This record gives sequence, C-alpha cells and structure tokens, in this order.
Amino acid sequence: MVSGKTTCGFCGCGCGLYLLHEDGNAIGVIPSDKDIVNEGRLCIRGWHIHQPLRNTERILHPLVKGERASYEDAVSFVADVLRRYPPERVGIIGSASATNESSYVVAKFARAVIRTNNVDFPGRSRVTQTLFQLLSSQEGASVLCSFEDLAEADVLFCIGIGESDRYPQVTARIFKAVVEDGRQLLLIDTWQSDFAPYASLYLSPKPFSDEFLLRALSKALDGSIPMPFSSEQVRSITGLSDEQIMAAADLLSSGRRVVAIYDTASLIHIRSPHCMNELLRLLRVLKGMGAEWCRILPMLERCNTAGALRMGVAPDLLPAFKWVTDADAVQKTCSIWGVDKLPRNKGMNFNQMLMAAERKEISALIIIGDDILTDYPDHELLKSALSNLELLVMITAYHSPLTEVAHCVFPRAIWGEVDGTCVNMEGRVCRLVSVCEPKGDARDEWQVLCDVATKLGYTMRYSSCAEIEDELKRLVPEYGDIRLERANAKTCLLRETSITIPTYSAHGEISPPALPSTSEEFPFLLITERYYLPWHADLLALHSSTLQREFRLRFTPHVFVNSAVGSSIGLRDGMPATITTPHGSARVTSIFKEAIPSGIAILPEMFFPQLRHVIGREGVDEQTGAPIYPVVVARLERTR
Amino acid sequence: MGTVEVGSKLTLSKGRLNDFLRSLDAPLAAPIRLEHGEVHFAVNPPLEQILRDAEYVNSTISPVALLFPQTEVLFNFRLNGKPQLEFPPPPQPLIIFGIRSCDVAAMRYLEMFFSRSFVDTPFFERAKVTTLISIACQRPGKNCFCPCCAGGPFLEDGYDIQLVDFGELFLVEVGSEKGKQLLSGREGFFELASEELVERRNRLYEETLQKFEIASHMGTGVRKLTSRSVSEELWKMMASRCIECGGCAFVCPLCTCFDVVDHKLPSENDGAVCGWRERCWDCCQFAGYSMEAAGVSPRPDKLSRFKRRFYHKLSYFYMEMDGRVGCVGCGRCIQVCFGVVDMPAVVNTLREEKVFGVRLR
Repeated sequence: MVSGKTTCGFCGCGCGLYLLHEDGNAIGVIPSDKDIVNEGRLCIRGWHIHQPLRNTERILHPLVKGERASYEDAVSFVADVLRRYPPERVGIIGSASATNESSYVVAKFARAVIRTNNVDFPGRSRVTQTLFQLLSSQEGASVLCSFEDLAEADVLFCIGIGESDRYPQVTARIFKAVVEDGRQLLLIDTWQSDFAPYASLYLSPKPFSDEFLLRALSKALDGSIPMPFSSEQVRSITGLSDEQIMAAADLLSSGRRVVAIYDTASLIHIRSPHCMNELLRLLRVLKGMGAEWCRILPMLERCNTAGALRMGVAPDLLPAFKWVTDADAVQKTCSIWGVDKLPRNKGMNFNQMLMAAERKEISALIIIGDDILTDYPDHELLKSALSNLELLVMITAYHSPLTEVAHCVFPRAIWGEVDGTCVNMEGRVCRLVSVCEPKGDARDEWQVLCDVATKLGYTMRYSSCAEIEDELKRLVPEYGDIRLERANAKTCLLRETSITIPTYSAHGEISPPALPSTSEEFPFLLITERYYLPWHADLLALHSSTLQREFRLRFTPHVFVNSAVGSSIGLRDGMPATITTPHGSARVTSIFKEAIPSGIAILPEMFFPQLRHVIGREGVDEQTGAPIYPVVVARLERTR
Repeated sequence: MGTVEVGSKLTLSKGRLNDFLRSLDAPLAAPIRLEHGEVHFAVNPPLEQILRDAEYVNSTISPVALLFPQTEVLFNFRLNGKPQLEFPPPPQPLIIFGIRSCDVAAMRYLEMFFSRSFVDTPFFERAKVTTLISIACQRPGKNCFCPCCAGGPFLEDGYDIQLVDFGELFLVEVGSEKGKQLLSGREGFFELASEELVERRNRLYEETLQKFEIASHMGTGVRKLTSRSVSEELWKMMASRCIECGGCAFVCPLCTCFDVVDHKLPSENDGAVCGWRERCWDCCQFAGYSMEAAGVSPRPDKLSRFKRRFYHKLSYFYMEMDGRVGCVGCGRCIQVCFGVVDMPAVVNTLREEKVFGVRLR
C-alpha cells in the first residue's frame, strides 16, 4: 500500500515522497516526480528514511529513574518534581526535527505552563545570526529564493556551501545550471568541494575573511562604497589578489539574475551578522547596476529549522517572529493561551542552559529529541553537565549517553509515526503523514507535554494535530493562508513582511578576525567548520541499517591540508597523521586538497567527540548567546 | 477463433478490457496515479483507476520491484537452542498489466541474472507465477531511449503478451507459454487479428521510433569502455558530480544489488531471541557495499565506484556474459540523478570526450 504524500524528515530540503507499507510495516519509499522540491530525486538519506521504522532498538516504555514505569506514573512524577522549581530554573530544549505543531506546543508549554522563556533548540543561534539580519533588512523576506527561482538564475554565488552531498536539491540545481544550461558558478569556499571543478571562478580565501571579501567586491563594483582598510590589508586578510577580487566582481555583475547561496551552519562565527550585512550591500550594488533580481537562499540544516523558529522555540520569540516584549503580540498570545501574562525577560538559549546546568544554576531541563547529540558532540561534557540537574526529562526514541542520566524518559514517536507540517529552507510548508503506529508506548512529544501540563493544572488537550493547527493559525496568520492541497504552488511559501530585531543588529564596521598567531611549534591555523553532514551522529540516521553502515565509513576523523604543504612536511594523502595543539593531540587521517590556503588545516571536529579535547571549549557570546567556535594553532606530523 | 498459440495475433476490443481483467483469477498490478499524479504500479487497484495507454509513459519505480521489492523479509527466526525458521508463504500468482517494453526486457534480464549461478529463490518463486501483459509505447517520454538499448518501444520477442493500442481495440500478441496459458480458456474475449492490422502495427513501430528526443550512442559507450580508452580526467570530472545517492541503482530495472540485515526483537521471557532476516536494496556506489572483511574495499573511493557502475553496464565483457547491454533505455536514472551523470549523459560524454558543451541526451 502507498501512504499519503509525505516529506522527508532529515535535512532542510524537504523532499516529497510516499511511504510503501504492508501490514503496518514500512517497506520502501517512492520519490515524488511531481514535487517541486525534489522532482523525483532523493538522496541516500531520503531513500532510506523508511528503515528506522523497521528498527527494533527503540525505547518502548517510559522510564523513571531507570526503571520501567507506566505512562501515568511518569507524567505524575515529572509534574510533581517540576512544581518545586521557580520558572527561571527550568528550561525546555526543543528540536529542529519536530513538526510545527509539536514545536508550537513546546513554546506554549514553556511560556504558559512553566512561565519561562528558557526555551530553545540546538543550532538556533547559528541560524538566527544571519537569517534575522536578512529578514530585518529593507528587502526583508522578498529577497528569499525558492527552488523555482534558483532554476532561473544565471549567476550562482555560493559562499561556504561545503560538500555537494549536504543539501542535495540545491546541488542538483547547481549542477544542472552549470552542466546543462551553461550558467555561471562563483564558488567561494576555503573547503575544496566537488563543486570546485565546475565553478567559472573558484576562490579559496583565508577563513573568517568573508566580510572583507564581500565589502571588497562591493567596492570593486561601486567606488563610492567606503572601505576603511587598504588594498594591502584586504589582500593580507583575505589571501586573495586584486585580480581575483576583480574577476569575482566582474562575474557577479555579468548576471541578470543572481542567487547567493550560503549554509547557515557554516557562517557560525561571531561576525555572521556582519557578513550578511555585507552580502545584502553587495546585492544592492548589483541591483543598482541593472540586475533583474538578486536573491538569497539560506540553506537550513534540518527539516523544520525554519518552522521551530517561527513557532517560538527561542528564548526571545513568541510565535510568528514576535518578540517577547511586543505588547500587542503578548496580549494576543495571552488571550489565545488563556493566561493573564507571559514571562517578559529574554530566557537562556541552548548553550546558556547547558552552562547553567554545569554551574547548577538551573534545576530542570526537558529535552525533546536527539538533535542535542549531533549539535554538541562532546557527549562526556554534555552528560556531566546534565548530571547536575535535579530533574532531566527526555522525550526521545533512542537510548543515548543522556538517557543514562535522565530521571525520566518518555518514548517518542518518530518520523512516519507522526502527523504535522514542517517548513523547508525555501520557507515552503510541507506535510508529514503518519503511516505506522508508534512503537510501544511511544507518542508525539506534544501529547506528553499536554499531559504534564494538565497535571500541573493548566489544561492542555488536543485531540489531533489538526486541532493544534487551527489554534496556531490564529497566532501565525501567514501559516493560515497556506493551502497544502496545492502543495507545489508558491502559495505554500511563507513570506511575511520584514521583522524588527532589537538584539541581533550588526553594529560597527567590518573588522579583521582576531586569530591566534602561528609559530614554528604550531605552524598551522586549525579551523573547525561544519563541512560535513552531521548525519553520521544523528540517531535517526543511525537507526537505518544502510545509513549507519555508510555514514560510519564516510565520516571518519580527517584533517584537510594543502597538498603541497602537506607533502613538504612529510604527510601522505590518505595516511595517518597526528595533530597536536596546545590542548592535546589526536590521530587523524590527512587528506590533501590543492586549493586550501597554505598555513590552514581544516578539521571537521564538530562531529567527532574524540577530537574535542584537541580544540578546547567553545565560548558563548555574552550579547547574543551564540556559540563562539575556537580557532587554535596546531602542528601536523606523519604518524608512523 | 480456435486455440491460442505462441505467436498468435489477436484483437481485444476496449469495451471488453475490464471484463477480461475481471476474469483473471490472480492479483492484478496495474498503473494508477498517486495523490499528486505520480505513476505507480499498484496491486489490485479499482479498475476505473487503471491508466489508459495514452495517459502515462511509465512509473517512477519500475514494476520489477513487485518481484524484487525494496525490503523483503526472507524469514523469521526464533533462537533458543535449535534455531527455528519461519519462511514467508509461497507468493501468489501475479499479473502485471500495462508494463512497458523496457521493463519487460529488464524482467527477462533479471530472470537470467537471478538463476545464472544459483537460483535466487525469493525472486524466482515470484517470477515463476508472474505473467506480463505489456503495452507497447507509442508516445515515448522525454527521457526515453529504449531503441538504443534493445528495450523497445515494441518488442519482437521476450514478452508474454504484448498489447498495441489502436484506439477502439488492442492488437494482442502472444509471445510465450505463459501468455498462451493466460489466454487459454478466455478465447471468447478475442478475435483473430487481420494481416492489415499487423502491417499497421509495423508501420506504427517505425513512426514511434521517430518520436524519441534522446539518442544515446550505447555502441560507442561500449567500445570506448571496453577498450579502456577513456581518460582519467574525464572519469574524475564525471565522478565528482555523483553524490552517491543510490537513486540510479534503485530505479534501474536491471540493477540487482542488495544487502542482508538481521533484526532482533526484545528477548522473550524464556530467553528466546526472535527476529527476522530481510534483504533490502543496496547500491555499488555506496562505500559499504563493496567492503570486505577486515575493512578492506576494492573500491574505497567514489571515483573507482563510479567507474565500476559504468563498466558493469557497458563493457563488452558483461554484454557477452549477460546477453545484452546493462540498460534498457527506460530513462529513470535521468529523473533521479543530482549530478547529470545518468546513462545518456555519461555515454555521450564518453563519446564526445569533453565535459562542457557536450550533448547530454
């Protein structure tokens, strides 16, 4: 039998497919060749999304202090303990893989039931750094790009997009544009991906120099743009020559329809909002020079990163991108939620909640899903921080280092067992359908939260997902305009007018990155970036037999280094190397890439817990709460 | 009318089609449209949902998947001392109606492949009881190139029953014992076809050949690959566009790679371990597919795996062994590929020996 049309639950592309099932068991997938997102294509993840539904290693029953408990007892236990804590000592960590409906209930539970703004999802601060800068600009959402627009672009400006298998539906458009339609690709990436041979121009600048490069491009096209640094300084910071910058500027200005594509996960450093400002400036210059249109496609990591944000799973956001201090929004939300007030002060974000747990400044956390494990690969640190909690509740499908220290675990229904909607990177609302019965006592996280809420004295009951949708449409009116029956039309794209941002503004001029100095002992600058998919650590993917096998092979610790430099210090391509930093050493495989700047080594440390000790702890920006990923110096030696 | 024989040419009036289909006492798979219009071969669909010849080209997933599904339970097991195995019940007879010539040719290849060195029982038990009523194509799709691959649009042999749609009636060609068996006892639905109709059929075949948009010079592909005269640079450029999604293998009706996985259920009270063994589609582009014991792989990198796929499909060594080129020209790989490295794109790149400006189709 064939299910209703559903959407893949992995990345931010949101591919349309059907689930093939027999006697309640998922047996395969059928890609939709009518879907405007994927046009019949599926990546290795999408082709195997039915496999976790066949996997028997699931948490089937609630656990209270490690012992099997009934669902009712578990709900009572959580409510009883939660009652003891003041709102500021409780936090909720949601998930970018959870549906809109579920995320709406998460945000509502935090604010209406617990009365806290300590609600966030892993990875949010990375996205909002750039996305909000974009949405609050004069162009606002009108500058966002859909896949249909992408197919019409004649210049594709890709900045730090990483490897070609990260966002496959974007990859397909890039390759078709270049190979079939003769369009131009300007690729700017320190990482030398499989796109590089296909770029009309490929530049590999020094890391953290994006804002300089973008300003220099604007300046090259429009002499009136201020540039507070000399050409000498720009060359030194970017590692690019004047000719290279001019060539890039020429390429951009030759386009009538220009799309800038970037990965929200890659511009993860503190200067991201400034980079976005510079990108917007550049596109305005191009527009002024006569381009028909210039758009931006921010690639979002998970299937509902955009939706979780819009539903208010953030410490300073109510649903519909309204600020927690917006009086009108607060009043409207209060009336729909049946409360007289909402917490006013901005809450703790994800990183801050983890640090608070470490310092025992927070007593209870409710964690939904497993994204936290891929976003925070230092599992030992995570476990020790969360062990400090007086109450750790996890709503999850799989055992992990965290369920070992959780006081209560609720089994969670997974993709294919839940109904709802999600929003992809274009802002397109996509439907998910439930096909299989949740295993054991598993249920939607929103069910669990509703039951805990009711036990705490705030009656929250929805008989179905559709009921949640009806309520959330009242607070998120643009969602209410979506007609999912016409799922392939532009009517499914969420496009609100701009929003105002009190806290994310990029203040001040472009400034050179503050990087540690290299020395003879440590001649390399080691940068860690998300060039890889995090999927090999994603628990849903790991419960697909094929993906588990494949990802274990595709993702092993490597350090990427310039070929010439690597050879000169005795390394060999594909052979073991030892990397040593002031913090420690680790064994990796060294991989040669011709175009990585010399003096740079790239370590996709984010996904290998065994390399964490080499990098050191990341910091948190005091103002935005965004993580600051460390840059360290290193040396590389051949391991014998 | 007399008895039906292999080689008989008959006619079936459209008005009698549904009665004929109802008379078949076996599950019927036929093409229908899913919620958003995708074509899919469903089993026992309501007759009014079955698509007419002019209403579809082909399905996204080949109907060969009815005999070699994406996931298939091989047996259930119970281990408590002596292992007990429970095999699935023998498969029911199946009639696939509306299957196209390319998929019929693929089915014959699969029957050969799955019985060559040893018999793949799960596939073969199904194949033995499956009969194909194919409809020859008169309106090729934009991705079709079966004439380049001995895959159609009309087959001269290798089919069970081949229909050609002439508006008011079908020409019915009986091509095999299975086809004959299916029609025996149902002669009442048919008339003998006139010679004039058979001539019209031959002319229609020639006309259909002119309608194809793609020409894939498979012969050149075979020659260049077999003689190893493809430059490394050309291979590298093509392989760099592949993202190892597996799509080409999963939609190709001649691809046969599979993995075998055991699943265990939580232990029972008596300590018995229960579970099942299943097989699922796999792909030679996946790193783990070729991985051998002790972690060695003969194809550790994407480039070698990419080359391998096309060597298997196009090299003369395989053609001799398999009796045909490893492609029937169904065009599904074009639909699913992210990197423009589907069969015609690769073959034409090999032919023109350049990456940019090549005529891809």
